[in-house]
Amino acid sequence: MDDPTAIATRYATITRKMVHDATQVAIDAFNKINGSSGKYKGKDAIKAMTQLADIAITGGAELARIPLQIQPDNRPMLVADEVASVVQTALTDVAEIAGDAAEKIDKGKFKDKWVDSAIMLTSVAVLRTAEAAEAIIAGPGVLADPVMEFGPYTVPGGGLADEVVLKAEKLARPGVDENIAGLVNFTPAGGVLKAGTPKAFSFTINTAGIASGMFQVEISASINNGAPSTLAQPNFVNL
Amino acid sequence: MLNLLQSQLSFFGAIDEAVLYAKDGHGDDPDAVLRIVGTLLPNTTGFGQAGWYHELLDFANRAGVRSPGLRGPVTFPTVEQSLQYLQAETAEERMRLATAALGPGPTPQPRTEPPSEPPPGGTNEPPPEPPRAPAALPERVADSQYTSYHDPVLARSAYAAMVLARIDDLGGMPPNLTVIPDLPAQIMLAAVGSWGGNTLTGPALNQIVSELLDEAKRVESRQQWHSFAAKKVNQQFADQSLPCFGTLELLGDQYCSTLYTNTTDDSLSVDDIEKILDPKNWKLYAKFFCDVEAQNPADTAHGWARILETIGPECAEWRMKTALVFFYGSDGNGGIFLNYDLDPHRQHDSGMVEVDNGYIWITPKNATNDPSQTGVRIRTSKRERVQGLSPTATAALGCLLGWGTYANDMLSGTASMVITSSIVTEPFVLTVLSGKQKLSGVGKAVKGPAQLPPDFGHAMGDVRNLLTHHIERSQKLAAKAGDRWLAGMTRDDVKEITKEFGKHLEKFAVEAYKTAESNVKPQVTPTNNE
Repeated sequence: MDDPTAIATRYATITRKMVHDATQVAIDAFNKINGSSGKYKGKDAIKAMTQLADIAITGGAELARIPLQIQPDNRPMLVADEVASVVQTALTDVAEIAGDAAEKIDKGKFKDKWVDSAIMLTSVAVLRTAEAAEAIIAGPGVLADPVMEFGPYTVPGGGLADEVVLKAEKLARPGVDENIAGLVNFTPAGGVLKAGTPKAFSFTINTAGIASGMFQVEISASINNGAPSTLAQPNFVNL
Repeated sequence: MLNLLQSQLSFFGAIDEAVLYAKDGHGDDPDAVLRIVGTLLPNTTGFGQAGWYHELLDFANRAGVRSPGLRGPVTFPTVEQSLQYLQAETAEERMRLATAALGPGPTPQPRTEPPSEPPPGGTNEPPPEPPRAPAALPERVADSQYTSYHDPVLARSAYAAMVLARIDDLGGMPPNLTVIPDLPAQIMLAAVGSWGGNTLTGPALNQIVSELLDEAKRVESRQQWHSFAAKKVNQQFADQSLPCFGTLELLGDQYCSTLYTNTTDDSLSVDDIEKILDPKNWKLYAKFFCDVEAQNPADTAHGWARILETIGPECAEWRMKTALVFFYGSDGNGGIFLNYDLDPHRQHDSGMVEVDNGYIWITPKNATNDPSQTGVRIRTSKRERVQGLSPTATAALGCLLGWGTYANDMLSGTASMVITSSIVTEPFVLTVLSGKQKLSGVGKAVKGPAQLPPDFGHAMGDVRNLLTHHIERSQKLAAKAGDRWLAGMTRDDVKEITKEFGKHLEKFAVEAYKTAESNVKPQVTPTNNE
């Protein structure tokens, strides 16, 4: 994995720039608002919105790129996820507020509401960058390990000389339109139990990003001796 | 609002207060207090974590949570009131204390027009408001199903007493808590005594309490307490006393608090638990569930049960309504389970919960996996996210108030009374599916208007400067301590690293963080019960 120094530096550089840029926009806006009345016009508000959206989008894109660069250690990934999540939320907030403002302008109802929108946007930008900083400081220690392990299980009918290939066919909560079988990772790798090895296996599931619940699991086994693929496996796993 | 749940919460709130006191550098050894509380109540002392009790109070007063019929703000009971309530030995006394805690009620609004006739007595004062009456919670009603015997709320109160005793021993009690004589001992005696019921009284009770308090001075880990409590009281008390704590997990693009519990009992069977497992029975034995009722229509088009839960320690004051769907399943090996998730149609919902899903899994714990034989294991998971509430405060809802600890409630004395009584309970009926449901696992909160951070205009520039410096320092510290960072940085790690930069820098970094934090966390608002 990458040197933690380099990772920290990259995060710090991007976050610092986001904080600086976002706050400057807010300060400029509030200086105008708090100055002589009428100095801050609707066009200023729109400009501020655009600037803030740019900052959030640019910063968000840069932050989001970092986790792609620091695999395979998943702990920095978790921090990166956290930061990316904060930025994503900020982007959603910004989009909602800007959309609301645009709609009001279109309907000729915007009038003095631009001040509200500007305040909302600046607070969103500053709050979210502060959250991003918090995530970096907190470090991965606060995040739980999302990988859960199940097994070992055995493959009946498979002898020592046989080769068995396992495949996760289904992983879903009963009655839910989902199948996340692709998250099942076998040990031995790839679900291949080679000739000369015991016909036992286990598997892990990375639960990050999925709902908690009892999941039905279906694993098929192909045995090269032609025996039927009846497999000792759990009906359910609790994720 | 004075009840057992809220009283127990106030004891943990006192611990939170002691943590804030230590974080401000007060007490004989603030670092030792933070270290031991961080060990005994994980994820409650760090930056952005301490102060969760006041955050919950603010939450209880939010529109949509505060009961619409309530006059005046929601207030949490003081530690003194909570202690008195815990020590009450009868339902009547609890009702009397709860009534007294309500006070005379808010001052009535003056009339805009004088009454047409002078009232009796010749004064123009409006008539006094009728005294308010607390809700008839089972714990306040004689001959109800409630029994304090094996009540998990009492076991958790004992744990709070142990942590408070530890803090007291380290000289870390805030002044307003030191004025209550022997606070930890008083809580411990009342909690353990009530939990044990008639099986634990007199000199035997005093001896055990004395030993538990003595052990509290030496406790260094949750496991150490658990082993000691299991030996001195019993396994169930030890299991129930340990408050769970939330871990942060990702769901979709949102971070949630996830609670896991794993409990066993040798005297009950899967069949016993099955009698009370349907969510519509929870209010019979789990205090935090004021009401759990079927929605209309009762099922989704695909067969999941649609249920509205109303939760809160006293729902006449503050509560949250969440529309959920449930799947009733069998694991095919003697066990049964419930899966649940947010209802895609948030009918009658408070709109506060953004994520709420998980399972309750009941399995036989006997040699033949026989659900009719005694021996049962209950495993639960609950993933939750509440709009605008920190993971620590959300975990308090789940772990301390009982939103996510059904297992303990199912094994309480009250639940046993329900199981063995003639009360007709809602049966556990396996779900019959007709197709598949589309569930995202993530709900959309009803968002309130965006709010400015406090003192926004003035704080803006300060926040920028502080954050910028903070990021620079953090970058250097993180780089310097790469391995520590990867293992999860603790406060001790931070301290050790910052020593290299001098005491001034450490103070600056903490102050900088506090400034930034004040802009992202709800402010502590003074209340009249502080």
